[in-house]
Amino acid sequence: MKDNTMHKSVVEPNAQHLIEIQDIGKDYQEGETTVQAIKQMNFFIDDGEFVSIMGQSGSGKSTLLSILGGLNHPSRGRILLDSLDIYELSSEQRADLRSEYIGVIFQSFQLIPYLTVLENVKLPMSITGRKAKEQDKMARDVLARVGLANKADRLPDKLSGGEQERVAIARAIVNKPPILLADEPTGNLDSTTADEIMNLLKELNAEGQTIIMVTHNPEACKHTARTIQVKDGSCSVN
Amino acid sequence: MSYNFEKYREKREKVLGVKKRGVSFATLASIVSLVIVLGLGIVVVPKSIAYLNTRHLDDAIYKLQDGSPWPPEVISAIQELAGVKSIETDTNSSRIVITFDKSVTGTPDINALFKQRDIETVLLNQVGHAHRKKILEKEAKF
Repeated sequence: MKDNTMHKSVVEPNAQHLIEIQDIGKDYQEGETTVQAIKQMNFFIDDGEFVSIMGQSGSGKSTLLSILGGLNHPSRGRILLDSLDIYELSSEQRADLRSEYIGVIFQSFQLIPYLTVLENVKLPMSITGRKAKEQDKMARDVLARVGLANKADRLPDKLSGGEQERVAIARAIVNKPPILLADEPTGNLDSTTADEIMNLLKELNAEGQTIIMVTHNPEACKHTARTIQVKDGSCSVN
Repeated sequence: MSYNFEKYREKREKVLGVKKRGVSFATLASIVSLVIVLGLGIVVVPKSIAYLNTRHLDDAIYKLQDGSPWPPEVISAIQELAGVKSIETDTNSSRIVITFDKSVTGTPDINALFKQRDIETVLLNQVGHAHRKKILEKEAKF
């Protein structure tokens, strides 16, 4: 059963931003030792922003991304996403939130190798209850948007790295999520292809898509309006 | 871009499980089913009640042997027999239709009355009351 009470999950008058990170912290237990992956972070992201989260390996940026994506419960603090306190929601509501609000581009694409490009893109829509015809149209539209309209029936291993990245982007935005999380989207690409992907992300952002990109590459950060530097579990906003 | 609380209202309501405005498919299907069931009920139930009310009734159609009109006193005497519900006469009173409860009386009792009064009659037909009504309805259409 869904919890229909809105008083705890919706903070209507106080929410000023699309995402608000308030005193977030995350501890891991390793035997007797408690490791603070994230000490304390406070920042916000507005609707339509293109923000990069930059940091070295082990700095806590991937932990932060998984918390932002509703996949990793923080040890303290709270996250308001469209005024919803996402970790106050039930697990079922949080799953719905991920489906409605968040598209994820994974570093290694995570395409299903035995499904065609079109079927891969349609995958996130399978739980939305949309009709098959509508799903097909939306998937083809978004493939056209990323420049892969003529490769809908190919298998992923017949595509280049850049094209596979485009499929991953298409799959992430097909449900029209307000927020796109990109985990090192250019990490596995050569510099020319990486630029193409960054330009595509910038185009999507110009169309109103909010994008949060995790990267360790300072070059990639140049494309974003704001950079959140993560270091030793703390952050600073540039 | 400033954050607009209304922009993602539909998504937020989906997450929170707030009921959608308007009529859902399930509600619409229930309403249609209800209308069909009630409609069928309105058609079927009165017929069933009418059948239950008349299934024990039979009609016996008599005429006098000589074809003359039925004397009113005989009709009154038949009316007083136990189990007789009604008597109809045709336009020139040459034939009568006696409707009776077949669990209470029958044509032997009626025939006995005629014999007692020394009246020679002919039993033209004996049918179920509901069946004769149907025949009359069909004839009326022609």
